[in-house]
Amino acid sequence: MRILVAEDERITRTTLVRQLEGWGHQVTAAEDGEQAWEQYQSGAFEIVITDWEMPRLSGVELIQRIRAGGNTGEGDRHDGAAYVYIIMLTSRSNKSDIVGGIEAGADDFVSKPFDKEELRVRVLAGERVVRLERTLSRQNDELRAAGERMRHDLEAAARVQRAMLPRENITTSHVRSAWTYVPTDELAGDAIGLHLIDDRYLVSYVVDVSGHGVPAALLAVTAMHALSPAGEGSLLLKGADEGEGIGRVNNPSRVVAELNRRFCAGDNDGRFLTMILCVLDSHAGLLHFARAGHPLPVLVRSGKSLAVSEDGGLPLGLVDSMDYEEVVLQLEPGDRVALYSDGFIEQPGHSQAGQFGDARFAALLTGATQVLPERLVTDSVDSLTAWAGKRSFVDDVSLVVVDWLGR
Amino acid sequence: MARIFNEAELLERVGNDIGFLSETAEMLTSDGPPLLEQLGAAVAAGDAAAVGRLAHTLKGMVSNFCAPSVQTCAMELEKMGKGGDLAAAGPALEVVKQGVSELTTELLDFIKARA
Repeated sequence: MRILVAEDERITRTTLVRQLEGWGHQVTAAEDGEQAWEQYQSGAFEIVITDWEMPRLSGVELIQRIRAGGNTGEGDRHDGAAYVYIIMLTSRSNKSDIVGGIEAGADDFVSKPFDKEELRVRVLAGERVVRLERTLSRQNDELRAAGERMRHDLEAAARVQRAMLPRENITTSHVRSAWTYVPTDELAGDAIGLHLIDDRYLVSYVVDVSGHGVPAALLAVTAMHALSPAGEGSLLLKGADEGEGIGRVNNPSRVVAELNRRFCAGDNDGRFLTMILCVLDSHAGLLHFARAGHPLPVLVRSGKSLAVSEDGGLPLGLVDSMDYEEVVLQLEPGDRVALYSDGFIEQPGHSQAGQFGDARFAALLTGATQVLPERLVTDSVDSLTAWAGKRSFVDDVSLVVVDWLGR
Repeated sequence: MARIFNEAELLERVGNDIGFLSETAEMLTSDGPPLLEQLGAAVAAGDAAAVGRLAHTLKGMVSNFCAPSVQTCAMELEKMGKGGDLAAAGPALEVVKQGVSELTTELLDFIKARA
């Protein structure tokens, strides 16, 4: 250990230094408190042993300066804040010195005239504390660095995930659509998509992976990738040997079944996915959708929420070779369809009891028929924020709104 | 005749190193007299604070030689100074001077006999 000894009386100082050096320590001696303070600032001491009464600067003043944050320069100090163990030398009779010294920041005391063995074990205790503090400090640094690396990785992953979201809302002379997506953490377990194929077929979907964090996000990204119409082998677009389809687009029931097959074949770490996939022939107003354990879409017509078929199937990744029902609806001009994740309806209120709920959500949609989809999705998140008391939700929140304008 | 210092305790304290004991005894012979001189001046001037501070240093100095009687005398003088009452300081200082003188002489004799 590097030890600084502050003692104005020469014989005691010499004896202390000799003892400490005999035990293998590197010792620096100071003749008074002020000199000790100067040496402390230019050295890298792990233990300070100081007398109480000294000329120029007393032991207690020296301790106060050290504890106020004085650095000991370079050495192996991590950030100028490494702990220095302080032992105070005091008269055996003077208890008030002990109390005052420890209150000022001393860790221990040794009575004068000091006993050799007592001094040895007190210094030993100091060594233990110093080593423990250095180890903890190093581990803290390592943890901080690891946390920083993970944060960077998560941010990079979140950027990748965001890049897969729809670029913009889609509006044509037949259809007007908008979406919103609020992840609860850096990475989301929700996925949404909005694609216009051949200027006619509007594909929209919401996927919700069970759980949160990186595993859920990886599955969400996998689903988005499989459903992208851009890549080779997209599930969305028909292959040459595939059936009828909706224009060039595969039927939603077929796409959902194939996605289920793929997720059942892989290792999903015990997770499953719910999903709703819609294909709207925007020229004919014919809406096809298939559901895998996902909340029903909300269909709003003339300011009212209409019942839609509950046909569907189990969530993806649970049972292989599932068939999924396909529901087909003929829309009327002005009809509005909303797809969403359960994060929207299951959000607890900050003061009110219970969740946001289906009824409140439906009322939000039916009460805003004159509001354009792009404004509606923003207003909806604002309403949920007011309900939650903050713009931070317990689950990922996704919403896609599609208005069919007519033929 | 018993020595003014505890021989066994002192030897244990210096790890039976007579050379080191000799070094510290020399420090006593060089640092002791000027300190006692300053103490005398402080007593004469009635400077109680200085008496307390200097007697404290002297107490620490002699404590290294396991001489409890001399240490106690120095402590009494320190108390007088810190208590601000120097009425008995003059005689007390004489006792301390006598004690330090005896300690120094006995130490040097002891070291010489062991060398």
